[in-house]
Amino acid sequence: MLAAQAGSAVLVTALTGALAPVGVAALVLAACARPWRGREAAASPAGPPLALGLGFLAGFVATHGLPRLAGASLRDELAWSALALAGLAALRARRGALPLLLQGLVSALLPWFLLDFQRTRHWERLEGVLWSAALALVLFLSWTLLGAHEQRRARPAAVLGWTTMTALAAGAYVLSGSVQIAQLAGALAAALGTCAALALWRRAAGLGPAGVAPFIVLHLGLTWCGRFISELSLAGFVLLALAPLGVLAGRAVPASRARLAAGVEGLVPPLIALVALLLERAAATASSSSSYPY
Amino acid sequence: MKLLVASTLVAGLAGLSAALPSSAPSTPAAGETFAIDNAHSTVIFRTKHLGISEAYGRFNSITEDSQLVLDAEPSKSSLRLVVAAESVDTGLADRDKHLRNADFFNAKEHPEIVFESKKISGKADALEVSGELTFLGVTKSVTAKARQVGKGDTAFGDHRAGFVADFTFSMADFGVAFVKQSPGAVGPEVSVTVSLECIRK
Repeated sequence: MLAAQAGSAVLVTALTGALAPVGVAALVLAACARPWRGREAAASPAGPPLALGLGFLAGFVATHGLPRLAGASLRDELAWSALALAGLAALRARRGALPLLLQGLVSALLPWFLLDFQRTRHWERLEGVLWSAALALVLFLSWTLLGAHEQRRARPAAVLGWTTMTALAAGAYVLSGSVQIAQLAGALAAALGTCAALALWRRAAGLGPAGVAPFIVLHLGLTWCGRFISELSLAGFVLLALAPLGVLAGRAVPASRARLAAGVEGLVPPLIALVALLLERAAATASSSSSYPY
Repeated sequence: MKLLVASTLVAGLAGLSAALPSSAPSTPAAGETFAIDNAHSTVIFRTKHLGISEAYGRFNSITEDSQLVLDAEPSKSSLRLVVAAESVDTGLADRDKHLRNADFFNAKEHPEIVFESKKISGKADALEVSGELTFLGVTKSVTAKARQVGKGDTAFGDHRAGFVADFTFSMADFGVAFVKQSPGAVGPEVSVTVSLECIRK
């Protein structure tokens, strides 16, 4: 009886964790896109960044409570950082992406501050500088390249691909040893999926350059959580970090073959994440001597 | 966490025992400093699993930062106990990996569980050790019941004192993620027993 209650409580938490970001993201998108006015009605570009930032926060609160300020950990700081960035991106959404200088500044500072514990406790001085620089570079390049991609030709397929990719990444985080990080990735996938549903309905929109900001910060931030506070393998970490850039493969397809390009955009990121998931599964199976269902 | 609590208790006990003649062959000088003998000290814990059984585990490493100051006046004794979170050992590698992880001890971000005593009172066979436990970056007051097991010169040519302490805390108080995300699966309370063997410096 008690075990059954515990099992149902876990299920309720999982459902709440999935429904909360969907509900909040849907409300935000509805307020910004006003879908009742028809598919062609102009939508505020502030919708996707706000939907992602607030939707992720809703998933965080539903599964773990409000992110902490006192005794904050990497994942708490990540949630607050993404929310602040989402707000900033939403405020400037009509002008497109955030200024390049600001993107560079945020990209440089985020890994430096969020991974402070790694620099002070686990990395040698030079190692810390190299890791921080590499993570900042990946964040900056991903942000600018994907922002430019969304500015040029935002397509629902890309958002759908990122949604599936993030859901697969959640599986890799579970195998790396953390249910919590997996749940947070699930919250991001749920918010992204809501954006994808609206984008599919409108048949044109994607996240937009403003929506890329919270998405890429949250996605890469979760890979940092997986690698540095969980036990995600280096190969899985690298693959998941680079997976969002898979949408750029669609640019190799001639412009005349739009459907094929959309298919490539939607398939490459989840395929890369799937490889990461399978690698993580193989590593977990190899190191496991017995089953451990919690 | 458990280690910290246990060590706090131990320290309190040590202070009391110093003041008491019961098991101690000699009254300690004022403020004698003891190191914790990791090889002969243990921190074990137990918590409910699914509400139907109790699961046990231990921490294998008490760090060198730990220290007991034993005084004839228990109130002047103190204990600092530092446990390496990554040394958790439940006899199942996959579970230990999960416990070291962000869901429980978050050992990479918060590698140490620290207990600092604030007040030690009572007698050697019934000590009360109050102090602050820092776990997952959160500091809370905890109180442990402790007792002195023994104290005296040993065949190794040194002077040792031993204590055992017990305390209970709520994982939710320290923000253990798994308790929130999977209510009823584990805990919510954890009982800790700390057994310390301390060597006078």
